[in-house]
Amino acid sequence: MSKRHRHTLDSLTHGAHCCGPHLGRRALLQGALGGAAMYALAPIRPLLAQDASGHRFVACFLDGGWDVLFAADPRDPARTYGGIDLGTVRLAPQFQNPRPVSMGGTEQLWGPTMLALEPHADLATFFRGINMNTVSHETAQSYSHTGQQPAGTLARGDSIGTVAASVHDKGSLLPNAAISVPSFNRAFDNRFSAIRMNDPREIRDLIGPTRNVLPEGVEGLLHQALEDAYSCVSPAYSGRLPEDELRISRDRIRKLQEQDVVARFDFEADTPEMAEIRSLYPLGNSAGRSVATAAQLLRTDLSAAVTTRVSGGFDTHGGEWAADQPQRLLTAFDAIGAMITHLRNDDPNFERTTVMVYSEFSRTPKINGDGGRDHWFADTVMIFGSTLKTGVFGASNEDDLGLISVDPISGRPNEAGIRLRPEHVMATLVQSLGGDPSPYREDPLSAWIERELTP
Amino acid sequence: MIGYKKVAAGLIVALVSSVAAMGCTGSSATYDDPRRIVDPEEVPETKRIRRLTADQFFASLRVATGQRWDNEDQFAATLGRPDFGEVTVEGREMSVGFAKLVGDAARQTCRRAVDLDRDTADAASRTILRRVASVDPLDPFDASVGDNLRYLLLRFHGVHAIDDADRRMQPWFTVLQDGLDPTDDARFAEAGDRWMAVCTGLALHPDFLTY
Repeated sequence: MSKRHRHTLDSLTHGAHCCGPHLGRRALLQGALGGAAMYALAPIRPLLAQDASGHRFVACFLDGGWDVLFAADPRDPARTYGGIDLGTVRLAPQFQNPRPVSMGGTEQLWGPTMLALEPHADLATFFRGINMNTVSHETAQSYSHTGQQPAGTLARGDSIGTVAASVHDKGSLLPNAAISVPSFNRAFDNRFSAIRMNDPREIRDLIGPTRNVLPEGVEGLLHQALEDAYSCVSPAYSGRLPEDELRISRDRIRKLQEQDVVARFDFEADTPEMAEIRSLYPLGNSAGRSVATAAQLLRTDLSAAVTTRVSGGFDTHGGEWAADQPQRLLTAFDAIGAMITHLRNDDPNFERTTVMVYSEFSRTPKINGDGGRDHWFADTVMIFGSTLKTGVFGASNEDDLGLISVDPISGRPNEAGIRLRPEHVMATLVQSLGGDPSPYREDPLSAWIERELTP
Repeated sequence: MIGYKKVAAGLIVALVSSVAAMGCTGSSATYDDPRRIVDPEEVPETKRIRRLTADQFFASLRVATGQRWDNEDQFAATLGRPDFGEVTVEGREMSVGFAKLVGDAARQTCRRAVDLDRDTADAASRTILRRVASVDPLDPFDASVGDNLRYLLLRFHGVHAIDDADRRMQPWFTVLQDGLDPTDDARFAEAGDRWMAVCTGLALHPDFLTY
């Protein structure tokens, strides 16, 4: 049965008369000793529980359109390709040669920037040759975040982090978090909307101590006044009221502050945990800080799903491509590799963890007149986890990085097969996570699902 | 024909209302609302309750307190302001992040507003303590307290309370006066903090944050 429902705050109705006699909701709350009030607030109660047994999900977004030839869809520089200019001679030596890596018993080439991910090949599934159907950043970003074709640039679906949180959240305080990326929630309860941060360091403001705190006694009176507050909403309204939403959030903040979890995001602190994080992550760059924050959100059980922009600067149209593109990919993958290593400390085989790595599209196989690469629609998505079969599904055209049809069972080139789209990838991933793939309107690639999780 | 489910739902509503009213007042009086129960799904998009957007909240707080929150720019995106590059939709989630940040914003601006008012002799130039007879000393039992609270209800919520007995005034009288002795000089010590708490509470009230 679908878990999708639409009880968001936006769905609260405004009463026709304002602030008149208001016994309905107030009376229910004040008469909470009776079972009636408990019944009325039943949807809220699970939010206040904390159970850390859910699956963990991280989506790592590389902003700007990555060059998959340096990453998950490289080519052998010893060969020549009619439609691809590898530009090898312009590259630093460490970025000239992809490396053979065993995936699911088959040897595959991995880009030279992905060294830090190689130890995790046993968890890796690559989807190659995905048709993004656009070379517009805005449109492709909405598409890649949601797996559903946007309306213009406007996302129509839910972010994959929102979907993952809705399936596996067990009452965490911040079920869904988004760091430096937009997040969309069209179909799920408001509590699965992402808490958004512009910068990963903002987490300390969001979960840290209240500022300008009042003397204890006065603070208690303020708290009580807010607990007793009721909004100017018709008593005939049957949905969740703003004061209830605010009360839930305040309760969560209080729990966060009581648990002092903010200390677990103080990466400079002199504690064994922070020392381990400093040793694992490149915290001197934003990529390291982003994924370290994402990992801590999961490891502290604050969140069930985190989507983070790992780094940007991949939109290399000019001559900077040769130096900047591979170096930025290396930086991003080093950070992601560190995060996977860190998460495997808790969960060695990713029995309860899934990491998705993606960008909005790729870059042209030919080098343009400015010495860079432009936008290209044949993209790749990398997933590290245990719910999908290890290996590579799909392919881009070997000779020109173009789109080709693939067999939906084997994932190998087959003219009678399917053109892989983001909808296929998301439907497959969501089904494997125990969610509802129907919004993607494509059949999941069932042959590639190793196991389906139970929500 | 009235279906079985409708009859059952009506009985449940009647029972719940009765229990609730008894829990609230101890009497058997019931609230006779002639309108039917409204399902959120039936409400048109344009009539649904929304929380303030980031910019609406910042502007409202500036108008209500006369102060600007220092971190507006830093947290605008976190509060849902779109950049119209990557994000084109206003964030309106009543999330933990929203609750935390509006709390920080309200406390900072209210602290400044009350502190400024306490240094302002001219009542008409004050923002929060405009109807308070004297700010030195600031007496939470002053006869003008009710007048000032009514002024603040109007200022923050657009609610015109006619007298001090209005039930919407009571929480704020409690914040100002609870636990204090009107004849003890100790009542002056926390008066500034208590007015700041009133200001903060009004700014964090659902009627301020939603429309």
